Amino acid sequence: MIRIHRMIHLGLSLSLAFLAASAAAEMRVASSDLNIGGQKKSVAGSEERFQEYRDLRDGFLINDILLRLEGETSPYFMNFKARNAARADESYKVRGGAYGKWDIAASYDRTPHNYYTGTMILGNAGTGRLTFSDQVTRSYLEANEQTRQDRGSLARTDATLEDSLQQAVIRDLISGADPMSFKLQRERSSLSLGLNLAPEVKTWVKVNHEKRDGARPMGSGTYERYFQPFPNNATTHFEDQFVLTGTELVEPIHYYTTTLNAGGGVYKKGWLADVEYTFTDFHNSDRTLRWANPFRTTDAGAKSELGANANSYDRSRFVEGQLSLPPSSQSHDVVLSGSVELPLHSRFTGSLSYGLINQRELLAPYTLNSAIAGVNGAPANVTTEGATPVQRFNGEIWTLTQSYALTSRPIDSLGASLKYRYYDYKNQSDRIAFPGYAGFGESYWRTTRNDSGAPVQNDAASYTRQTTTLGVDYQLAQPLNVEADLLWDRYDHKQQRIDGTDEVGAGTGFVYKPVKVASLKGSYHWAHRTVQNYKGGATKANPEAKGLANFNWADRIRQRTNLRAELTPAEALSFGFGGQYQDDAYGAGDRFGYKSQKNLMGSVDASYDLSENFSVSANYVRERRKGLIQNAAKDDAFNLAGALDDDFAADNFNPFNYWNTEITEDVDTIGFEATLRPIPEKVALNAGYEFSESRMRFDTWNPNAEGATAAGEDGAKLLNGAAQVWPVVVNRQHDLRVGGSYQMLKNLKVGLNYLFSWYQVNDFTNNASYLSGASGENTTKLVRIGDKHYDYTAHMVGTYLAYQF
Amino acid sequence: MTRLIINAMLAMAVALVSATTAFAAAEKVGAAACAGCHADKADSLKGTAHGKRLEAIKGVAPEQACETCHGAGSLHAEAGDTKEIFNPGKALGEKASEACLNCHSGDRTRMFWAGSAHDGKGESCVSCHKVHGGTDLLLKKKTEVELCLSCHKDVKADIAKRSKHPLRDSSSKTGEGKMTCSSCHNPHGSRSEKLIAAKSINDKCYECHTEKQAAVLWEHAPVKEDCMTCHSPHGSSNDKLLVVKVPRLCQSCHMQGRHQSGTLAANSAYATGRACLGCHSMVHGSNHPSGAVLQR
Repeated sequence: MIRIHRMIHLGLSLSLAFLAASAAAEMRVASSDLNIGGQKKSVAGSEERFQEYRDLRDGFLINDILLRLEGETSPYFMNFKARNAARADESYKVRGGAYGKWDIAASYDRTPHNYYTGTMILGNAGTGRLTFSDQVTRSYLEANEQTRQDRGSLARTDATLEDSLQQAVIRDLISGADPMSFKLQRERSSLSLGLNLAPEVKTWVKVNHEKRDGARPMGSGTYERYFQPFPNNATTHFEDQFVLTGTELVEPIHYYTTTLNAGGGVYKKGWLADVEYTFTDFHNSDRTLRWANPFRTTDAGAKSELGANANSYDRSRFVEGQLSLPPSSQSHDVVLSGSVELPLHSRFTGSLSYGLINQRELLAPYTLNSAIAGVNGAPANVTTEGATPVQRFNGEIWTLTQSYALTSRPIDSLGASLKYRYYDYKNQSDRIAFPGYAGFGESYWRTTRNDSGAPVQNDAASYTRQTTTLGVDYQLAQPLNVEADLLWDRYDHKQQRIDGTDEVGAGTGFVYKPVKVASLKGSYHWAHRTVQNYKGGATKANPEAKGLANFNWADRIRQRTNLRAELTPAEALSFGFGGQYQDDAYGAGDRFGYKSQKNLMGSVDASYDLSENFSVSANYVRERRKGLIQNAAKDDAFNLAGALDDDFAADNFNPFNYWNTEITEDVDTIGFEATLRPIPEKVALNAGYEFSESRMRFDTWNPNAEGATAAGEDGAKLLNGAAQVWPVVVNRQHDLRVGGSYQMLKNLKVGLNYLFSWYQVNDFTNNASYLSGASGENTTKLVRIGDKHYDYTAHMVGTYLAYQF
Repeated sequence: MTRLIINAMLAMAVALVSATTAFAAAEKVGAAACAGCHADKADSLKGTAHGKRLEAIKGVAPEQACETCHGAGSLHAEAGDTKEIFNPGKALGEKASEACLNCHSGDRTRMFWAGSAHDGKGESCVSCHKVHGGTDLLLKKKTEVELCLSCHKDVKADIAKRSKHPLRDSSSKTGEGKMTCSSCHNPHGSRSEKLIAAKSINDKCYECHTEKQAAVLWEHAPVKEDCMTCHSPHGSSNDKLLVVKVPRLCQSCHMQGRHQSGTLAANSAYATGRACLGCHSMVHGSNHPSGAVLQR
């Protein structure tokens, strides 16, 4: 609030200063607008979704204020703009100075980000410590904990008495809790000064300050293993039925970012050069988030089926959990840029930039769970800050960026460009060897990483990217321009499971304009990315499955085609037809991972722009995106060597558990706009309509289901490898806007607007607040805080009065 | 073939010299003479930045305004022949931009214009700007977003999807309009790919999402390499601008353990809600000593 006042005072001071100066400089009002009005809205459903980044409120509103002053004979000017005053999406900007000599500007802007309304059983949301004050309930939940020992060999799908008791308690807690709205507010203030020391010598300094304030939901939990109920394999594999335990949390957002930017340059016709420095300070007021575990009043460790200390069962038994939030950091960046004209209508432009980003945040303790201190090799002081090998992590990244472009057009019909970009991301952060870490819901001390069995040490991954492109365009004939280009793109990685990738590509295109009223543009590009030394899977260096390549490190062949036709049969009438097709084939020879992505888009648009008094336009876009992922359910070590399509011996992936998913998304988008002035300069009517619908299908199947069935299995070896049917996910939105205005006087206009907005999401993953153990793969101990139901129907009527003074 | 090229080059050189000579013969006639026939054009210029500030900034007197861009007009004035005057609106590519760049090349935001994506596709200043009239920035459409989307139809479809940045419907009073295309892109060319107005795609994202910039103890490799590995910045039918719905997005790279490698029933706790992110909430990296698998 103090900042708001500061900005308003600053703006007012500047305005007054300019107004005072205006008298001396004989400034006059060049233009001015005041738009005020009132509106009434009705929203059924998710108000947050309707207002995601805006604040449409009821009542009297100041929509816009615009004031422009300019010197009659002097070069002085002042602009003041305000939009949505006194609302959560307000913005103000004042700028003044002398044209070509100097200018000063100040601005203030607010942007809301509304998420959704949810119900939380923990208190103090929005702070760094979430509490649970009902100790009686907490003790009751702990006393009725469903342990692995209690469950025995009971299938997870069968609810136990403890399950039912815990579910009932949590449901009561949720129904008794007050709903709360999760949202974020971004406030940005800036001040800048530009000064031209000479007509071709410019300098500038800018200061930005941004505050983000609010709370947003985040996840927290771990997994438990239970009996696998799939009937075929009880004897070979019986403990891969997983459930989740945990509580969704609310992350406190109290971020402050201050940016200082200063620079100067010489900008002549034949050459220009400048230097710019940017400093950014990011401060997070909440270093960590602590939360109370509603299921525990006493710390405990994970247990085995028999009750002894082990990592397998009964996890998340801490009283209070803690995670680290994004650390405060600083960055510096210096950029040198220049450009010079060369003979033969050529130009060379270059940019060189050095950057440093660092953070030295204090490390949190390994855990707050005292029960694992000194157990299984854990240090006795695991709950103490400073027990880590270093107290602060020295995170340091250096970047070096270079970008050069040599372009030439020796003759009108021939152009060429050669570009080279270099981006070096060097992570010089500490590499720390830890004695272990608190895993499995902070209830077990692990001395190796659970994903790889490797020692617990962080990596400081670095990479260098180099990109070179060469392009040539040539006017082959008067109506036909052709172009061709070549690409080389290389990544070199350090401390990653890959040494690098090389991509080479070539493309061609044309612009054909046989007659004045028609044109056709097209292009085709092909590129092949190859991989250097991707470390094979199932090793400490790469714990992933054999035959899996992460898709942006996988071999890829990309083909992309674009086509656009435009017809302009009359000056006011135009039609456009466009199409794009992209086909990415990933991981040739790799068994798993992202395998392909095919995108097809077609569009048609038309506009008739007769005059200022009548115009109409419409467009339709159709997209289809289809992606294929290949995966497999992991089992205990057994393999059918040589069977089916399995080329990988002795791994943990039985071909009977292979599965593929094809995700197909169809999107239709329709837009329509019309403006009509039945009485020119008096009455104006406008209408706009937008429709968007996406339908996403997930087809998941086991490619070896027949073989599995023939071998006596039921379509798969494991339940986790069996085909699944996921419902179609549909997003649908209609937005209709109609409005009219009447110019009452030369300077006075009144208008009326109506907005109808309707949004619906059918998404099976947007489930209820608390997920109970109703069926396989569900849980009794995952407490969620919101429905994430975005559906709404909204109507809004507004009237306004616009006055130019 | 070589002879053909030499002949073609000679012919072009002759044509260029002839054209230069033709224009060189013309003399300036002044704005008043132009306004005699083109009163509407003269009027439409008055209210614009060019009409008002040309003298203050560039020292060009109003009387010289028309011929600063269109060239000396005496031959055109005498004959009325449109071939005798330069009209950037009817010229193509670099030729069309030449008049503008005479004044506007001395600016850092246009330093990388030559050979940029738009320049390379034959677009010119007048593809987007309307010198006679238009908006504050002399744009051909009411808003910048509208202008860009008039060609980029795929992006127009993207920003209507389930998750997006706040740039929808910017021309309406009820729209979001808190970002524009130029919040991320420089249409006049940039030192980076995709006309990104920063040294890389990630560095652009960090300008608003600064909390993701610093090195942390436990990194998630694709995060620092390219935000677009997981996010589709123009819009997505998934939450959080994700390119693929979780958990399938995560499963396309991760299958080292058992719990993440299942087909997952539609009511599975691993498929619903936040899916994998329900536990691995610090997916952008963790600074916690027990955050090796991005849970803390």
